[in-house]
Amino acid sequence: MNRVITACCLIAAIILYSASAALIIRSENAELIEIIGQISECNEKGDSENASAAAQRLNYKWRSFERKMSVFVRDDKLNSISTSVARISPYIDEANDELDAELQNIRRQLTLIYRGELPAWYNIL
Amino acid sequence: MSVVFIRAVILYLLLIFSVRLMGKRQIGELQPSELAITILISNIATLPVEDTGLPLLTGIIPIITLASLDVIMSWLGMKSRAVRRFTCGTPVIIIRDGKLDQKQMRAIRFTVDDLMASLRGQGIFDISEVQFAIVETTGSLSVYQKYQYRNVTNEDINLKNKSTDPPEVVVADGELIRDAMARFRLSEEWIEHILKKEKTSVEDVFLMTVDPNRKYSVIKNEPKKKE
Repeated sequence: MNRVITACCLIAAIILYSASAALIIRSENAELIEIIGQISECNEKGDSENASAAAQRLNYKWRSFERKMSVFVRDDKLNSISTSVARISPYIDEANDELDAELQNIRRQLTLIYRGELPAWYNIL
Repeated sequence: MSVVFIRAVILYLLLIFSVRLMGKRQIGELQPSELAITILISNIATLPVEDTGLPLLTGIIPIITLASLDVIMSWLGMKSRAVRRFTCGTPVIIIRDGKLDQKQMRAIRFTVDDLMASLRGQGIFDISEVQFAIVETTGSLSVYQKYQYRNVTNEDINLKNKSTDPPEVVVADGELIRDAMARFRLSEEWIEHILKKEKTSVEDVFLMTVDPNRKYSVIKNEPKKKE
């Protein structure tokens, strides 16, 4: 009977862990997406100073997020976002046209990571 | 490399935990579902070791899930016959009244070669000696021989004796086995007294067994040879 209780507790812990992983990713994603929005907005207004500051914050936030995420997500997905995040500051400095595309790319990949944690039929099948 | 090493150590401990959680079974006694789970677990365990890009949890979670589900299904199987039939299947009788049931053999894809090999494994070389044979859910064959071919039992020759439990090990490698001592209600003093009679001590005993009638057997440690 002890084994059955242990097994039930383990299953409950896994379900709890999965749910909390999805919640953590969602809340962290929301913060990152908000910063990305700020960068985009500043860039549209031509406010490169604030855009650079937001890019710094994005970089800093992403570094701590990446560490947490490495527990749940494959390294290659995180590396791809890291590469994109690293490009943001130089793009702002150069006023590069690809900044918006890069921000969209990061936003999209973050959303995909979150979606990948949801127990939806398209993830299960 | 240190990552691979640490991951391997963690997974080793996890596998031991999973196997202990699933309970003691010999490979040959595993139900088909248990065998599949065991193979699956060993396969999953290799993934995060081979690919360090994968989070370790992608290996840990399915292993714990499969082991836990196995325990829960076994427990449900104990409670419900329907669950047991679903997870383990049912034994199939392939020889009844000495007659081979070819239809059942075809249904479970049990060939004549399988049958003869299983019979030979049990020391039966002539199928006509078999009264009844059943393919168990583990895939093994249980055979009941015809009366004239069965071994003579004590009852057949009218030998009367009381059944007792077999002897148990109470000292192994110079250490007292307290569980066995408790089962036979043996005190440490009694064992020391016996060993004193045998001109030895617990530390110098390689093996000591005692049966419920307190009949004992002592094997002393061999003196170490100088190389």
